[in-house]
Amino acid sequence: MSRRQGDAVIDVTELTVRFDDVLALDSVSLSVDAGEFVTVVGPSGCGKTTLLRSVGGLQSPTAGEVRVDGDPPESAQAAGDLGVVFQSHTLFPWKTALENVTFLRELAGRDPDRDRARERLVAAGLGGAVDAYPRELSGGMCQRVAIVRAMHLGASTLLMDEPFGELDELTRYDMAASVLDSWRDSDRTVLFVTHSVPEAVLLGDRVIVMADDPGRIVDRVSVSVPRPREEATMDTPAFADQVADIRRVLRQNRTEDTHPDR
Amino acid sequence: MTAGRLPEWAYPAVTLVGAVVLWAGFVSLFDVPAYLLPHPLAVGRRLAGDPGLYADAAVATTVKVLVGGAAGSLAGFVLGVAVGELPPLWRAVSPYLIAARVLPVVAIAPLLLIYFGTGFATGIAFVALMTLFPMAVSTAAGFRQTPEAALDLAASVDAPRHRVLLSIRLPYAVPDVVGGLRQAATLAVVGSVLAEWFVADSGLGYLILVAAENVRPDVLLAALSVVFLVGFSLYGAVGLLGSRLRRAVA
Repeated sequence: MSRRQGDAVIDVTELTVRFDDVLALDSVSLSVDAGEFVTVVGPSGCGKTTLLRSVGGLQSPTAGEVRVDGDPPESAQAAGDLGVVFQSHTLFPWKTALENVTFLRELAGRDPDRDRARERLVAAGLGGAVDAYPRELSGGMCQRVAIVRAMHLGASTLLMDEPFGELDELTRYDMAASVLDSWRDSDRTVLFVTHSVPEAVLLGDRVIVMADDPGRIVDRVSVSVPRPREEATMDTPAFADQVADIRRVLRQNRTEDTHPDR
Repeated sequence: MTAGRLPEWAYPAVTLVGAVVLWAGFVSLFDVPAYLLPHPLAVGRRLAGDPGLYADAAVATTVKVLVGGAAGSLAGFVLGVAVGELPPLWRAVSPYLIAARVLPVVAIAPLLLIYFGTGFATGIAFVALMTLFPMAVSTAAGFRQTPEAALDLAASVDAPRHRVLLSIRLPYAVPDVVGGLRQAATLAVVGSVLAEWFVADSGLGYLILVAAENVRPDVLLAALSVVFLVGFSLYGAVGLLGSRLRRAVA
């Protein structure tokens, strides 16, 4: 965690990932600065999840390079410096919410710090769910626990792969608001993948726009909508303009033939 | 209406009583000779007349079931974990693990007699072989049940392999391991009685063999009912243990 101000925390250089005959990522380069909140948006099959998995060291590159804090992602994994939140909550059904939150630290070989974990759950509005099992919680609450778990790991880089993808519309924005809150109060760097353009604009400092076949970056947009942003921000003209711009880029780059994955 | 209020055990109990009553009625009504099918009361008198004989035989059979079953299940579990953890090993041995279920273990019995002699060890080895394969296959299947995302989560913090095995993969494997144990429990009783036929030294299987040779269906049926009791108790015990284990990881 020898991070200097202004340094790129995430550095992706000409990353290519090929699955058999599918070019999931074609020479993608991306740099994310310390404390930055970067969102990645694009259609299904554009490689946005592959990009995030590569940064997390869960996917080996076919060509190119990924560095986190200047080293390969495996070093950040070993240092417990990567907090990953997946689309499905991946809570363990035999553990309570609290045990799930502390378990990731135990897996990383750290002190579970139950007291702090409890405080975090309470702060996230999950005070009543501390000792509940995942089956007793709603999908939104489970995903909230998963996010608290990633925070509790203490990683300075958070990788979030469509974490609200399985939630209903209203819950999504509650969750987005709470992620923004906890990000503002920390110096965490966030890479956040979504297929929702409004979500990408609401959350991000920058939006990376991707297209498929082959998976590539087609635009990088700095979000000009001022912070703090909340649900009402989405009704402002500035917000609507930025969403429309990104949607236009997506539409221009849409492949005409139907993708086999869709 | 009142049927809905009966306790769970009452349903099979009614079946049992009904079957015995049918049996008794059939024998009395058609005047079936006792050397073909004795009256249930005659079988009951056999059991009550020499309880020591049946108790000793039941103990001998149960010991084979428990020792052989435990050894076979444990070996099967270890083999299952090994092939579950090491995909190349799984690819190398899985065809044979599955083929071993087709091969009747009885066919190996003559070999066991040569290697282990006509004693206790042969029975144990036979029961162990009967239980090993289903346990290994179920355990290996269980270790393939771990969700990819759970493994990704563990990889994201570079979790040590033994922690992943014990804290993540093992709990996810429990339902399949329990399924394997249930199969093993049933097969251990079958294997134990079979072993007593070809080793012919002790136990309920031996008693059944002798009764058949002497055309004593009353003794045979008495021994058979004890086999049923042993098997049923064991299956029940494993079932209880299994549901406890499953609840712990559900």
